[in-house]
This record gives sequence, C-alpha cells and structure tokens, in this order.
Amino acid sequence: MKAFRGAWPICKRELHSYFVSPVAYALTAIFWLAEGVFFVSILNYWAAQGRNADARAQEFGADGNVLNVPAMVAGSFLDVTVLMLLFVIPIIAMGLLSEEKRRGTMELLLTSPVANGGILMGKFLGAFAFLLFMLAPTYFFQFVMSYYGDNEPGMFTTGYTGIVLMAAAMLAATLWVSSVTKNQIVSAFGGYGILMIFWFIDAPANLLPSVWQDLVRWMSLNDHFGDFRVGVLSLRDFNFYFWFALFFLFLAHTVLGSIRWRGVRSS
Amino acid sequence: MIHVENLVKRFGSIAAVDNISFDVAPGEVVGLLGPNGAGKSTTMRILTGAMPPTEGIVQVAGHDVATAPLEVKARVGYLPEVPPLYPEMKVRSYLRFVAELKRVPRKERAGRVESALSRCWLEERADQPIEQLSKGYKQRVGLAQAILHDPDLLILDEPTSGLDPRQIIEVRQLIHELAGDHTVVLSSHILSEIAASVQRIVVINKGRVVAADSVDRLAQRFSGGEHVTAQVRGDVDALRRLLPNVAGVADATVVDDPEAGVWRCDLLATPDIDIRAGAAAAIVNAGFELVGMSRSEMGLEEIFLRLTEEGNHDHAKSDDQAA
Repeated sequence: MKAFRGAWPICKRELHSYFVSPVAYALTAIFWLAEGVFFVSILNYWAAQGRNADARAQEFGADGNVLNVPAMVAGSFLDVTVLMLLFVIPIIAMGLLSEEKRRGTMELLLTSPVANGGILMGKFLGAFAFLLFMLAPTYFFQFVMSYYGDNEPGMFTTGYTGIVLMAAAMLAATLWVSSVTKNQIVSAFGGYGILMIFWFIDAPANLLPSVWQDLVRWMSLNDHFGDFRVGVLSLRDFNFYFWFALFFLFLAHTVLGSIRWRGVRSS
Repeated sequence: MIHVENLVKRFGSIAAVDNISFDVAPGEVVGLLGPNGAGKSTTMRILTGAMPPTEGIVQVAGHDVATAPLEVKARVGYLPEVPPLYPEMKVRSYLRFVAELKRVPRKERAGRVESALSRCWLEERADQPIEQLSKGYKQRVGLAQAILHDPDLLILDEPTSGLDPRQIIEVRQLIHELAGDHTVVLSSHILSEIAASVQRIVVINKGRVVAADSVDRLAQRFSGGEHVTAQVRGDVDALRRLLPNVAGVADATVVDDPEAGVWRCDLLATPDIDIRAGAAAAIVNAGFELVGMSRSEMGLEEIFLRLTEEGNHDHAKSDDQAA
C-alpha cells in the first residue's frame, strides 16, 4: 500500500478538524434542520395528495390507495437531499487542500514519508466520513412513515446508495478544485462551478446532434441518479460515479505531483 | 552528512539555484546566508527530499534525494519559513499526528512526543490549541515537530524571522542545544543571526555560492585584517599624526565627533598581526589617555554586501573552487 502511505493519519486528522470547526457545526445544523423541514413538508404534501386521490377514486367507485405515497415521498425527498448535497459539498471540500497550501502545512505533508495518493486518500476519506455523518440521520427520517403507515424502505436504501456514490463523485471533483488554489473562497465557488457544469451538462442535449446527446447525457451527474431514485441499482450508474471520482482524484494527483516539483506558489 | 554537487533547480526558464556545490560534515552547524530570493529556501527544500533537483547530485546521509526521497525524509527534520501548524489542534495532539506521519513506531510515539515537548519547553502549553499560542511558542512547536522523529539532520528555514528579541534568543538557545545531537543547516538573511548560531557560512546569491567558510575566516579574508577600536582622550591632531605610524596599522581614522572629550579611533591591522598591545603602548607613551580598546570583527553586514554586490562574477568562480 505504498501508493497510499500516510492516508490513515491524514484521514483521522481531517475528520477531527471538522468536529472542532464552527463552520462544520453550522453547516451540519443547517443541513439537518433543512432536511427535517423538507421531509415534513414533503410528507404532508404527498399525504394530502394521497387522500385526494383516494377520495376521487372512491367517487368513481374504485378502491383506495391509488397513489403510492411512500414512493412519492421517497422520490421527492431523495431529490431534495441531492440538491442539498450540491450546496453542502463544495463547502465541506473547500479547505481540503487549499488550506494546507495557505497555512504552509502542505510543506509538512510533502517533507514527510507520505505518498501523494496517501494525502489524497486521507483527505478524501476524511471528508467523505464527515459527509456520511451528516447524511446518516436523514436516512432514518423515513421510519416516521413506517410508524404511521406504509413505507418503502427499499426505495430509500437504493436511493441513499446512489446518493452516497454521487456524493463521492462530487467530493472528488471539488477536492481537485481545492488542489489548484490557495484560497478557500475561490475553492468553494470553483466547486459550485464544476458541480453545476456536470449537473446541467445534459440540459441542451436536445439541441445537439445525436452522437453528442448520448455523450452529454452520459456525463451528467444528475442523469445517472434517475435509476437509483426509482429503486433500481444499476452497474452502469455505479461505474459512472466510480470513474468520475477516480478521474478527478487522478487530476488532483497530477496537481500534487506538480506542486512537489515546483513548490507551492506564493501567489 | 550532506553532499551537494552542481545542484541546479529551474522553474521554467528561471534558475532559482544555479550550480551550487557544498558539503556539510556530521555534527556541523552551517548557515545558508543570502538576500531574499537568493535560492536558500529552494536549496533547503531540495535537501529535505520534498522537491527533486533539475540537475546535479544531492545526497543526505548517503541517500540520493532524487532516487530515495523516503530514506532522506526519514532522516531529515524540516522547519519551513512558516511553521506548518494546524491552528485548531492542541500542541500534543498535533505532535502525535506528526509522529504518525513520520512513521515513528507506535510504541515509541508517546515517548517521542513527550521528549520533544520537554526539549522545546512546551510542557505547559501541551494541551492548549496552537492558535492561542504566541509567535515564539508557535516557532517552538515548529521546532518540536522537526526533531520529533529524531532526525540526523535538521533543516531550519529562517528559524527566528518575525520573533521579538527575547524569543530570538530563546530559539537561538534551543538551536544551540539541538546542535549537539544533530547536524543543522539553517538559513537567514540576517547576518548577526547566522553569526550567533553557526560554525560555517555558505553565502548564496542569485542561485550561486559566492563564499563558503567560517565566520572568522570570511571576515579576515574580506577585510584583509582585524579592526580595532580605541577610545582616546587628548589632542586630536597629535592623535591623527600618531596613529598611522604605529607598527602594524594599515589604516587609521579618528571619528570626528568626540563624546565627552573621548575620541573614537578605528584602526585596521595589516593581516595576521595583533596590533592591540602595540597600539595601546604607543598611545599611552605619547601621553594620551587610553580609555578603552576593543577588537571588532569586520562588520558582517559589510562582508555580506561585498559578497553579494561585487562578488557575482569574479568571486563566484574562485569561491566555488574553495567550497
């Protein structure tokens, strides 16, 4: 494991740094609060829609339960959570490498017997672990539905698998952005930029020639979530997120290599 | 301990280090001296194994930095110009992290951390967050970090820059203590700093070595002889006539402005002659009152300016050979 030498201490330190950071606390609080509010309103909305649908069905003499409320809730809530991640991840990742460069601690890492892969893996896994810590409680919101009636835990589980994979991909991209600048704010906005690009890249698909249509759809972060969202695990989407993450980790690895060669630039 | 031969480091078309050679013996304390941007930091970073050289051979403890950087890193403790600290961490947990990073065996970690804390007088601050420490303490944490894995070679980049005079003395003392067990290379653009801490100086300017020698010998070589300052009371004109004729005095000036009737005389000795006794006798015998006398090394600032101003071309060649 020479290529990942040093990953473990760096990962531990990174994770620890979130738990002593006011920014991380504030972000987590906002995230949980917003997720909670969204879940309740989504639940209310679809419960009402469900009752309306049932009433209308009875008017026409059909049985109740025409609308699968838990599935609707699952879909909407997964969508909201993904959007929240789009907002949260650049903030989580903004300091990962840029702060090391600004504080001069990059010197410590580079002069220690630590591999570039170790630095990146440590950083990535530390931030990823914190992201999982933020996400974990929201997974259990669904059991409110189990308590009062039907639930679709399978849909949530598949959906969250997709969310975790997509989060890993987004984190890798923003980690790369963080490797090219010394400034956290630049890093955060750059992170939003790159996530937006891969979020909306398929938006003009219909205007493009068909060869390009497939390509831009394939490159879209959003598009690959579709199957997970409706409860389908597909290897194709799994592969996409995996390679997407690996590609940006590789880019960051090249950046680190060049920093080793020419030093952290003072500008 | 260190062998540097024809080291070149280019960033694009700019050569930050341009054909430097020098050696450092085990246990030696050597200063890299030069104006800002001379290539000191780059040279040091290359010595740590963090940055490969463009050309040339750099060996630390027999290991080549280009081919065996991990071996080099295990033997080098490095304090960059800005100490590499995580402000939110407590001193002790920061040092534990560094110990892990430097691959100190698990069983030895706690002991090494405690010994680094005590050697750098940090025990009282061990459980304080680093961001709450003063600049002097932060510098000590940086030093503790550098000695943590008990390296053979310590590389300290401007270890006293930005500290107040008391902190400078403390850090200097600390370096002095560490020097016993380690080979030390430190850099500075402040000359008195270097002179206080090191046995030998390598002067670098514009990426080249312009001189490499002990502090005293450098002073001698460039002044041609010692400087002696005498404080004398008496008739200034007679004094001006007397002094140039004293045996061994190559040049004498009496500073115009007397302090309470005492004239300051700067005497330059011809090389390798101690003129103090002779000059004192001559002054007293001529009927003057000799109030004080002291030997002054040639101002390091002067040497430094000479080396870095005129020495770019002419001296560079001869000193490269001397080094």
